[in-house]
Amino acid sequence: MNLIQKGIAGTLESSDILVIINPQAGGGVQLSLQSKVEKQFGATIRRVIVEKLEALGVTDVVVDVKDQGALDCVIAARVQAAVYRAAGVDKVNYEVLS
Amino acid sequence: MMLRFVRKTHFAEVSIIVISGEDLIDYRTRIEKFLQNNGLDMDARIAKFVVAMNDYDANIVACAGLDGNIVKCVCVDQTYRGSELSLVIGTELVKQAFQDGHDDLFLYTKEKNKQRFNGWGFSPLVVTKGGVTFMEYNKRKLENYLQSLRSKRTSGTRVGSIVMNANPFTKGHRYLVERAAAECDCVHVFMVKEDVSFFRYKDRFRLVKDGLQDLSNVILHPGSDYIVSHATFPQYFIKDKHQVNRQASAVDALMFRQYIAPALGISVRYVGSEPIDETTSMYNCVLKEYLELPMGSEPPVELREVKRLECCGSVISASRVRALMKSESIRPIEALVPKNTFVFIEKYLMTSQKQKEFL
Repeated sequence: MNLIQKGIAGTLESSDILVIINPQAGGGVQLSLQSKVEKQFGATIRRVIVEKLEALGVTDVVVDVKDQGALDCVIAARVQAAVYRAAGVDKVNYEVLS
Repeated sequence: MMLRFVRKTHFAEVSIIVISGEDLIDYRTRIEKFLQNNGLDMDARIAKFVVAMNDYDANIVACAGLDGNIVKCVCVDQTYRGSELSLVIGTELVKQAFQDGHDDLFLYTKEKNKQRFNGWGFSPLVVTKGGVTFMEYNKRKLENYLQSLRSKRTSGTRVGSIVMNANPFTKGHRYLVERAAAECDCVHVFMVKEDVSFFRYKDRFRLVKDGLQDLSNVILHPGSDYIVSHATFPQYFIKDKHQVNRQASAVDALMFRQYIAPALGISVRYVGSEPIDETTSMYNCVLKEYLELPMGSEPPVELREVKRLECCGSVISASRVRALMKSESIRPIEALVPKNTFVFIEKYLMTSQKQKEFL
């Protein structure tokens, strides 16, 4: 997916996650994570994010994530929404969303 | 219409709105009153407010302001404290700032509120002796900056540093750098980036670059958010203005001591002695206190105050040059500034003269 702008999704509220995505040509995926549950689930959260980015075909991006204890499905959904916004996709076909 | 309804909250009666531009003029007194009721002062530089409002009585129950990339005047009404309202406000504020094109956010708070803003995603950078905590949203930003500094690290035991606004670059600046260059293996010169000075950053930078290029052991660094930037202390929780300045200076000094100096292996910082300006002499005094503080494994940074160069009976300073420019007496300036700066000022005065005639 081709990213053209900044994409933001999610909130800082409990059990949610705030994802800010910035396209960055040629820099690979740079992920910075701050989480309440970093010690327990940091590795899992990172994996979910990276996998989602891979699935969406996003390769060069700076991802800034503030997690407030979101479940994996929420993390994936927020990342996906942020990527879509960064790609300028405004018509989403919800029936074929992964 | 700048007033924008954003969303409902879990509290059925509370809505979040964003206020900026002309609407802020209408709302300012109401926000100010709300802050005052909670023991806080309004900050005049805030250009955008995120406000939580009770739909029934239209009372403000929480607010947070943005002054560029600095978060200020954050306040939640007593009855809503401990609820998630603070996080709702925080989310909207962060989104607003990033949509406005900022890629980083800063704030000052008391140490006891550190945890709260940690929940907003901010990480503490420094804590002063007075308990003032300086926090940053995007900590990777600082790490990237330090990384770029490390790539310019040089060998040598005595590494000097100077921070200057150079508004404009004078013979006094040149003298200070020469002194440092003679005493050190290498000197790092940092520019103040903020475009609030009489001369634009771009011009100031070019004049310094031209004025120092013959000194082979001097490295000129562009300005950054982390060295004397407009991230000044919000006046709202320390009433004494003198105290405010001291605390803000302390944050700046600590940023240098804890992050910038270690990244470049800086062992000494040079400043010009300050006989006239009270703010600068206070800043020098705070710098000395914090730079020479022993702290962890990093060796302290020595502060070296160099007596300022004089000309015609008083010290050379950029403010003296600007005062002369104001009175349009161009000749006396020639003795105070290097040739490049003088040529620039001449050109500047000529164009502004033409503009005046045109008007």
